[in-house]
Amino acid sequence: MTRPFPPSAALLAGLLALGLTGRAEAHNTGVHRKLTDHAYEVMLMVQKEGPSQTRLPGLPLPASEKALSSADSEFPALRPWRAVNKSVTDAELKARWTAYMAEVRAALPRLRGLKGGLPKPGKPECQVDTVGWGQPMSSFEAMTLGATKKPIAGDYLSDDVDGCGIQDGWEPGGIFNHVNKGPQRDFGGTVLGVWSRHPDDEIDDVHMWIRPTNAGGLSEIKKILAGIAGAGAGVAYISYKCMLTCLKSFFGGECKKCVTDEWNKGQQQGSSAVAWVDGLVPGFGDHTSEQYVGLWHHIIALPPPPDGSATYDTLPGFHLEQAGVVGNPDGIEVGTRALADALGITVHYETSQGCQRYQVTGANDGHADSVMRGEDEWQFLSMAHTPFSPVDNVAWAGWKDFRDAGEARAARSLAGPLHAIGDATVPMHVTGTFGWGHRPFEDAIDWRYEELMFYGDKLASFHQARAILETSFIWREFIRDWRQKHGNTKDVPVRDLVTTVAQLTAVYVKQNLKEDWPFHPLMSTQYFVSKDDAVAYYMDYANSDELVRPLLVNAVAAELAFLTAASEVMP
Amino acid sequence: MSRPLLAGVVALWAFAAGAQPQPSRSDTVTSPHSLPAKPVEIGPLNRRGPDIRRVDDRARCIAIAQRQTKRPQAGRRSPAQVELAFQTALASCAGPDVPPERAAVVGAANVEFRELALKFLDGELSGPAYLAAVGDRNRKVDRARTDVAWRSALASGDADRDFVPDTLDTCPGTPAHQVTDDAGCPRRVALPRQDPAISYRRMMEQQHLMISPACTGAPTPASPAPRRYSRAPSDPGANNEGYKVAVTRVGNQPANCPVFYELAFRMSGPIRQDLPRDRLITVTYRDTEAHAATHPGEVLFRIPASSEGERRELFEQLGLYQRTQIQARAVNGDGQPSAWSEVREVKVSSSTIQ
Repeated sequence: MTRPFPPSAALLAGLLALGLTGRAEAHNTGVHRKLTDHAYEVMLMVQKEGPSQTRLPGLPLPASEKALSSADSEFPALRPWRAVNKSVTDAELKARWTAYMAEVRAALPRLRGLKGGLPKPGKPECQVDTVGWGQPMSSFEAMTLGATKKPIAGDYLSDDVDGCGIQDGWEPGGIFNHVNKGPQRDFGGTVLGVWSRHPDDEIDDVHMWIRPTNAGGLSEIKKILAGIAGAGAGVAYISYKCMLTCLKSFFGGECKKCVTDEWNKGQQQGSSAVAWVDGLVPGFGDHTSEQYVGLWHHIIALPPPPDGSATYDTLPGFHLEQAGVVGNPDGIEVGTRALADALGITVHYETSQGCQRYQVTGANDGHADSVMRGEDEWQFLSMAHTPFSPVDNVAWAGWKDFRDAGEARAARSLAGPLHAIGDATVPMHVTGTFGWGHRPFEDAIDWRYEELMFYGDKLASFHQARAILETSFIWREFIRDWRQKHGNTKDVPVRDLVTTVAQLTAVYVKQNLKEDWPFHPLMSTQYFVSKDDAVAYYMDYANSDELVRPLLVNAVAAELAFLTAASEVMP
Repeated sequence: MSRPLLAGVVALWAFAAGAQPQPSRSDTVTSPHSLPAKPVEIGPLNRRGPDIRRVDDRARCIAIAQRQTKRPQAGRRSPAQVELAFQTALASCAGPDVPPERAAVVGAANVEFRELALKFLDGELSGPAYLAAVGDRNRKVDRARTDVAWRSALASGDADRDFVPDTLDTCPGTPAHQVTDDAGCPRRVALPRQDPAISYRRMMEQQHLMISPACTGAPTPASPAPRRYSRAPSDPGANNEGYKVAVTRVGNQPANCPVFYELAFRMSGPIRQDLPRDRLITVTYRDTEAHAATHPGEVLFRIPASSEGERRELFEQLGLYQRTQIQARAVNGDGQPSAWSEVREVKVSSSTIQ
């Protein structure tokens, strides 16, 4: 069973993917990239202000200077934290804040000296000096963040990237256009962002295997088509009903009849291929193995599991069988569960690196290790019955690589933790649902990201950066507390961090839950029938920007605190 | 995380508490559903054949299992029986450490889950009834995983396939897929009144799976990147008013494998107050509709004034907003999609693009 995902099986997987509603990742990948770059830009802002608290032109007091004031009104984001931590005096808070600002400043040179780990651009024409890399190709992969002279596009890692993977015209947005500008513009955040967007690209996380009865049967459909004149080079549109007939008849005679009928019916619909696609295949359906990497990107904090109930990890990861909001599946989730069983789509243990990589053992970080599973528990039943490891384990795998890499340390190892923090701020991913409006909710954030983060409003962007910085102070305190309890190590408790971010998102969702936001029982179905309408629902929802923004602020803040702490394991 | 810190961060947002999730309304029914009463007779759960037992190589093991199920005697069995034999053999192929009775239970479970799924997908079972039946089987399969005695008893015989061993079954002959208690007797199940799967079924009936033999073995399509768009000059009499959109060409697909370009537009910054804040419109083109661009790596798609449907709406809306963002992806004839490109703001070119 060493063969990878069989190509013919991709077709059947398409049926499943019709239920999985596209790539099951938290936040769209482009949003992950922007969140991480945003954290880096805030760090640049702190550095720019410097210890002398030079004011940025035309703006209120710099963030770091504001923080030196103990006046409650000038430090709003920390007010609730102070209410809980009453023993922290004004003087102590000032001292801690000043220390934190110094730590952020100290982190930047370390990060700038970190190898980006980007592979060489694939196209020969991109490996020449005229591109302006300013880096010999022989040492391209060792190019540090600080030496990166071009803004790296989010799709840099794809095989057929446009424009050598350089995003001409890139700007960091908002206040950061004034902080990070000119010929010395720092593009380190774009490199980190590329990795944050692609935590799985370098890893073969998951292969799905369709039990041979079905996979073999699928090739029968192509054989049937090959026997129809003209069908070999055409496109057949096989209806849901016909696919069911094929599955039920084990691809026998009834299947042949319905496939032939479908082909003939398709031809009668005229020559407008576009009409076919728009009318018959709304939304298409993702079905590559890449589709499935998102299965590792959940951590179920809502509802909190009763003590000791999680079978394999402290908080469970995605489990199709239990998908839904507080145990209630929507239609997409019920249907996808059935499709997984009908098709026999199963984790292929031997070729799925995620099974081993995302089970945690010997972490010694105060967070329980995973209960280890063998091949049978991963592979015997379909993916509907297979619990996946939670996303804090994905963070841990990357962090362990980064922490222990020594000279070989590169930014790519930060992909897991950074992506996981972002994942933990998405309501659907802390609830373990891929329905209930999951995909349109994420699409809406993607389309409106620049408005949400005030790209076009310098002053609002500055105030938001301050809120991010103050929030990140709380996460820094979290890491500091843990370090003190664990022998003043420089280690970073990434599993605790991701878990707590997820718990916080769950609390936030409970506090702000509306009857129809963020979870909507019909919007994932609507996404297939009319994708634009489903996305527009979330974009136009009353106060949606105000509801979503705190989640994004917290994501950036936690990533900022993580980057600062992570840099401290470097020389 | 310490509780005070969590509380502190929680309070950071200081938002008012909202509504809590409402449990589904449900009532109790005496029988979840009526199913065809005649179970498929498959005899005792299958055992591994002696030749499979000797095989360590799993790929070979699977091949042998496939051959076994195609033997002449297999032809006298029903497809369901063949499937059960095959699924059991498949579980055995996971390695020599898998006890035969475990493989038997796994094989039977996969067949049962498959049959339940097909009945649900075909509309014979409602969503709640399907979930209740799967939940019942899950509970019993889980017990068989940890309770060796139960598993052995189950593997030795379960004629009515309720996953209660015949030796412990006080209600033999229950209908197929019937929810039962651990004694094998029908159990009342509280089913939610609302069926969440109704909308799903309606939606799926509109779905089609694309299959193109020419795309067999094709790699994942490259992601097309939106480059720019322009309003073509109005040329009286030529009827060519409209927009042109340039995206990078998807070049990594086999010859004759169709490629569809899906272009999602977001328009914002309305020029009039009575317009919505945003508009989203997605249009799809087939590669055969692409026009060659002067830039070798690009293709052009047109949105002429004479367009119909979604394209016509797009044509009209593009002129009503100041800002346009585009996202694109490609899908090949086997329905295999690229990733979506990143959202890019695309400026209207001052000169026409060719």
